[in-house]
Amino acid sequence: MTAPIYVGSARRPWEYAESLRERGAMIASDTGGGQQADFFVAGVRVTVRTTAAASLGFVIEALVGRDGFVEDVSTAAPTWTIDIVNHLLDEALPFEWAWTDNVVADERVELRCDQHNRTITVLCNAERWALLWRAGLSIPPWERAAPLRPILDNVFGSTGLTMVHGGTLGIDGRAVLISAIGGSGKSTCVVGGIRRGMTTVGDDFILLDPPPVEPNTASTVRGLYQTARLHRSSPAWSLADVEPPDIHEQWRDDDKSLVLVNKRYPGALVDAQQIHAIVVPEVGHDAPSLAPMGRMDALRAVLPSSFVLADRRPESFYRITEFVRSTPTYRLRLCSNIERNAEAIEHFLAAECT
Amino acid sequence: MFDRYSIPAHVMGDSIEGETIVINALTGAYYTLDSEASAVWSAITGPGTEVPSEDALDMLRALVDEGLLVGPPGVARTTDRPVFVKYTDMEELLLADPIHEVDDRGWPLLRQ
Repeated sequence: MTAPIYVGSARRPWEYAESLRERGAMIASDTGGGQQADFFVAGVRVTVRTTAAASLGFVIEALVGRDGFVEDVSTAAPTWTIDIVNHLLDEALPFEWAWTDNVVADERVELRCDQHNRTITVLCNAERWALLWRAGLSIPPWERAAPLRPILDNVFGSTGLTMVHGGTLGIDGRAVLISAIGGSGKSTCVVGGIRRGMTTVGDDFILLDPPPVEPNTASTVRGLYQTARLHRSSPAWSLADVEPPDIHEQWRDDDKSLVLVNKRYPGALVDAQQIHAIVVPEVGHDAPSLAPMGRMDALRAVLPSSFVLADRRPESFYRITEFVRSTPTYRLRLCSNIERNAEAIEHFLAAECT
Repeated sequence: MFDRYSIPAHVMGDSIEGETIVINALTGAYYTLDSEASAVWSAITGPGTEVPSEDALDMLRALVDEGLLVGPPGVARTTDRPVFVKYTDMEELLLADPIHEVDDRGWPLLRQ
């Protein structure tokens, strides 16, 4: 195990952030140089730098990737730079600051602590720079599925995009958003639809465009991650041919496996889709069916996890409520046969989403 | 007057089909308000010239007590009428306080 380090205290949050940045660079140097990858989504270019290959691999793996996705463009100026450091931080955070909601900020930076993920995040919007310092060395399974989520919500939020917790299934660019709390069958549904030939922009967290200028026009969503998470009890588990979860004992309560959609189902992943309906899945029925549901019920399925698990920006709250207000909402009753469930969605797309 | 009440910066609410969803960004708790409470919530964001009824004042006090509004102190509720439904499934994700609950070994080790 790597020896813990001491970063040292600082008078101001931005000074502390600078000390973290410098220390991260030193660690990268001490461990044989860092790794770097670039990716592009919705016109935004992001360079991700890490102190070790291991901590970059899962980021590249999870982010939406196609041929030429990761390029050697180290000489080009990035729009955003995100540094990732995996290292113990053997120090108390500066308690003298007025931490509110585990956040402290000054005129230059915002620092956040996330006990759940064992991370410190630094956001510097003026310099378009962010740092993710992971004080716990094992990476939580949910972060493997959607790495850098709050940071990327902040990055894409600056361009008017909103992160939404949900997956999509579509045909010919017309799609439904499938959104619900964990255990509702969302990922099973998406994987089942993909196996039937439908396309998706993603399963877990996707990006919602600003409201369409033209009235009565469907909103557009864009892909960010290529991951789907399946529990071993999912009927899609064996069909998706996934590896059993390799979960660090620290996170043993979370035993879902990761499906890399683009790798497992080539051609299933698309850049963008238009959402013609929001469907909220519900497991435990004898036969699949779709029926209109109240918008407030749909909003309760879409909004809380989208908002709380991302950057919690007010703009996100109001964009998601507007999205639900302007999009037809349906309850999707699922049976245990994923083929029949996928067929129901396919028929719905053909009949209702024109 | 409704204009004596205001919505804190960390609280957001929006109405849809006559109901309102309100979320506390600090705690992750979220709430739904029925049509009557939604009318009161909407009045907070309106011009503020209307005088609240006794029922409305009672609902306002419930929202203040829950931390969803800032308003005049020292006013007790007059009924036990439910004003909102509270959902806490997201709240537990945000409850850990790594800043103040760490032990001497430093962050992120929680005090035992």
